[in-house]
Amino acid sequence: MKLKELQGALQLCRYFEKPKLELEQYPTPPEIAARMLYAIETSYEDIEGKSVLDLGCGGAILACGSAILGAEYVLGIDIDPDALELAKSNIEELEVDVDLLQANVITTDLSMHAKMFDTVIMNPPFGTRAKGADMAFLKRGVDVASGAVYSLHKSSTREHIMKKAAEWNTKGEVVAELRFNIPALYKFHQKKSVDVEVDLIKLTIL
Amino acid sequence: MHLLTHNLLQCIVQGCRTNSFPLRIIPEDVQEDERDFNQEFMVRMLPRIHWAALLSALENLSIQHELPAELPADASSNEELLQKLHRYLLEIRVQQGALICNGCGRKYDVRQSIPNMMLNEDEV
Repeated sequence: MKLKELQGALQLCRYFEKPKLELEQYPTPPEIAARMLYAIETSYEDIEGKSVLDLGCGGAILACGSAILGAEYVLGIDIDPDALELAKSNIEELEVDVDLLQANVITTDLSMHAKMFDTVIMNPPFGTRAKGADMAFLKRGVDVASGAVYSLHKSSTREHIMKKAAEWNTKGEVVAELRFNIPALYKFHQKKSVDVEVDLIKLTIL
Repeated sequence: MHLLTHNLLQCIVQGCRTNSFPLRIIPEDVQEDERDFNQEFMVRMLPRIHWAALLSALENLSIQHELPAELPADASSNEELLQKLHRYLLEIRVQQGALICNGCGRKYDVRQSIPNMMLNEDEV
């Protein structure tokens, strides 16, 4: 699978029509989703043949992309029924096999019996509005991953994340720096769109 | 919801600790999709599967399975068993139904294959 093909497929994914501010729903653009997943697979072989979890999946673009790249089992979790509705239609459109679960990522523990997932991939809330949501998502990912967690975070939080990564007994590294174009989705956005510097962080479970 | 996902789910009602796992499945619509068998993947998943929860799920769905009561020691080299597990965990899907906690009785709906593991405001 070439990057272009993956990008083409993910461009079929629909976005939120009415994103919810309190959940900090910023959809992952298809180009970023494709590049991110492609890098994870080609550099680290962490998708094909693996079990993959997408925390706070929204329209499930990362989950769908993982399935396209050959993940054996993919689960997407989101709290928002509208997001899951969208995810469902994207999964059908792309004809991939992805399980969905409606649950609160922060309060739901999926790690009681085993670390079921080889790889966790997510675009969590940035924690700008709901303080600490980004780190809470990341911790949930670490709890349930047996291999690695890949997550997008504002570059301004890098130092803090690296400190936490060590506390959680993981090896933290920045594997890519991206510019995330956030279109004016919400009323409080005054500019048409704004570029935010984002890191693709990898936490390897030690 | 495939049974591998069911294998992860437990009751989230606060204070519900006894018999909160596994959740009992009340099936309304169960479907089966074929997909490629990946032996290496199943072998890797073996130690992560909660065997008793899988057996109880199959029983809830009235699926004749012939699986032993415990995970056999030679499971990773038993291709026939791995193929069966592949079918049970990844091909069988609960499309509609409910999950019931055997401890507190809380019911979680499964609609359009998506379990709803959210509490109502008055339960939080």
